[in-house]
Amino acid sequence: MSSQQPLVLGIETSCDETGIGLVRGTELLADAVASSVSEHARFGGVVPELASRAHLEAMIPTIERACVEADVALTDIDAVAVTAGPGLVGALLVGVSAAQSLAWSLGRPIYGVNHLAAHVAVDELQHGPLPERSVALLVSGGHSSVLLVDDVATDVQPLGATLDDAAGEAFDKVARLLGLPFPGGPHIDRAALDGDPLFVEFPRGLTARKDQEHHRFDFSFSGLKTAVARWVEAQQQAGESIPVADVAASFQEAVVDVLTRKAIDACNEHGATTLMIGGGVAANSRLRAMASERAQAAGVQLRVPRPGLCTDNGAMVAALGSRLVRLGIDPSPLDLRVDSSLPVTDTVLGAEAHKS
Amino acid sequence: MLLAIDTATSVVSVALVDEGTVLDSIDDSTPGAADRLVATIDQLVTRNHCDTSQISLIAVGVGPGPYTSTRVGVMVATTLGLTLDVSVVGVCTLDAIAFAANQSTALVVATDARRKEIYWARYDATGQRTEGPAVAAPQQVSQLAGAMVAGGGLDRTPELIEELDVTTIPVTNLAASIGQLAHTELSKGTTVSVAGDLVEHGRSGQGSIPIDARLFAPRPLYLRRPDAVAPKQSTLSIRPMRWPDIEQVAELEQQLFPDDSWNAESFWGELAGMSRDIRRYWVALRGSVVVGYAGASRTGDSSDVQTIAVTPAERRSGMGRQLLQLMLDWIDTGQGSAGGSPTFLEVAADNSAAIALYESAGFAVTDTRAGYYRNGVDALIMMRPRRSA
Repeated sequence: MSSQQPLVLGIETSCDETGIGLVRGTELLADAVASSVSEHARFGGVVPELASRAHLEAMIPTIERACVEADVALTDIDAVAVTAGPGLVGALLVGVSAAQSLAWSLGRPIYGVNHLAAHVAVDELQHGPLPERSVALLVSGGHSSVLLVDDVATDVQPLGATLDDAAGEAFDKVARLLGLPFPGGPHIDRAALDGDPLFVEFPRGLTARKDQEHHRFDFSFSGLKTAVARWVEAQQQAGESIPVADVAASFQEAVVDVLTRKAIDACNEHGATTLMIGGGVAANSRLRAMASERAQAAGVQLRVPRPGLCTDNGAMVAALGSRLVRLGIDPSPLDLRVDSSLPVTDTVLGAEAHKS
Repeated sequence: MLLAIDTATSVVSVALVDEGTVLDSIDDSTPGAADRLVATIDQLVTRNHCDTSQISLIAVGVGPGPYTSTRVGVMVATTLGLTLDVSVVGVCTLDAIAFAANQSTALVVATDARRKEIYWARYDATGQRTEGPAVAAPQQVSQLAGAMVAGGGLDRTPELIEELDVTTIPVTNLAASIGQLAHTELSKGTTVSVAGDLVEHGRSGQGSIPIDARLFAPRPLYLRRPDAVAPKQSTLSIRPMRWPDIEQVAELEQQLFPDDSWNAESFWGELAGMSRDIRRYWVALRGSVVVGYAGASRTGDSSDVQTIAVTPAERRSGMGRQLLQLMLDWIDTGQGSAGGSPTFLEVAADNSAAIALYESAGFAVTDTRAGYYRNGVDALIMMRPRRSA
């Protein structure tokens, strides 16, 4: 390893973005992303086989693009990090195969890392290391989790997660109901700007007193989605037009209310002074605004990476890999296996991982 | 030294081939073998006291075979090609099975394609492929009765083997055959098939594989489209553009013409002209999603095609032609001198598909504007002459 900080290449293919990131220490050198999202749009959601085919097509060009952007050669890399899970198996396998090949042929260690932990780790590139006791709220098309983070590389505990749909999934489904395009998040966000968030009071899942005991930090969005569908249906049957902006704003308000309320509650409960929000839904303007308001009121510092770092990318994987290397954590075995439901406590696949 | 890989059957196979001679090979049929491919290559290279620097070429089986595992082989081969800076060639896995079967009679190769289908190809007594590769139910493959069948594609249906009275031939060390075939073809100077239809084939399952193609670009021969069904409500419709469409249209504009896009404000301005009948815009919708739009202006004694845009997924469906026809019909029905007036448009000189479309509608190039677009591409000015009333 060179005398300067280690150079880590990160590969992300857990869903529909092929991401290659290059990070030296905590400095982001390159973040190349190829997305197949437009190919999925007409199906209203990510089609796994389409995503896997697109990853294979995009991988080599994206690696080359990242190297050019960072002005480094592949032989300069000190370690390779790759998302090993959770995610779509076929998609993950493309990234892991590329990572194994790079690591072996370059004679460098490989770190099979956790996608959710990587979403948290990426914040270090923008705001510096997270303080020891932080809460992370991860919200995307595939995940909605509240995590207690003592060290993103070694100690991440799940506090809660969605019991059904991920927040981003709920955005997609409601967008479809309202005739807005996929992915739903940005379109609902924009439509909601002209809407009244109090127009319809949609249900806030798992916020009743009885849910406090077992689901205090868990989410449920499928009831909300159904409530929106029923409301829209009733309007149509009555021959009324759908006030898209108002429904979008009311739906978004319900999601954002629950997300921020529970995240701040988690901070208070666990004595965390910092709340980090990551994942694609972190780009939502209402989520940012409400989280900022509530964090300030609770005396919690809010950290949200810029939108490009919130969505799936290779930089976040490289960021977590870099932290693992700097902490001297053992790498993963070369024959590491992807794990579509990798628990968030497994921030990196250890030496025994291939036997599990 | 040539490194050969095949992952397009249930067995992961790797081999080292030197000048056509197989040095060593490993077959791994245990569960999760694809995950261990690189570790297996490491084992092979290490036990032969080789060094990655001695690998001068990589050959990989490109299927047809199970998508996920075939992709692993291709991804590993192409990544190693990148880091070791060596060429990577693809070999049809069915060709390798025929070669491995080593028969001097006609032969059918069949592998399991799931869903009660097989990937299959037919070979003559000299080992030349005469049909396929293709995917079909075994019952639909002609002259299977009494044939020699290699590849294990009928193993799941022993009753069919009996009924058709076929002789099955087991094969092993597929990677060794991949390596030998690649060596033989490259020695003969065979070139790699990267024909457009083959590329298209890899992407969407269309086109056909030339019967004499022996070496392939390292991309899976999928043979089938991804299983995905667009939601039912997604029928295609074209209607006049209205202001609520502007947001989607402006976003699509940004995606399709990132260098020279109109913003929402420009579209608002254009739509304002619709009330005075000097502008007319249409949107094409898939369900409620805007997938194309077009607009024209009709002022006094000349007309313009202002814009025409179709998402990549919807191209070649005739939508562009339909939109253009709507614009021209509107221009031709204008009042007085505006009706059928000479119609102009600008098109990027490198957009051959659009140019061909305009030519077929009676437009011809009248002028060029060098470096007109922000990315430096020239614009062609095309004109359709005045229509007589």
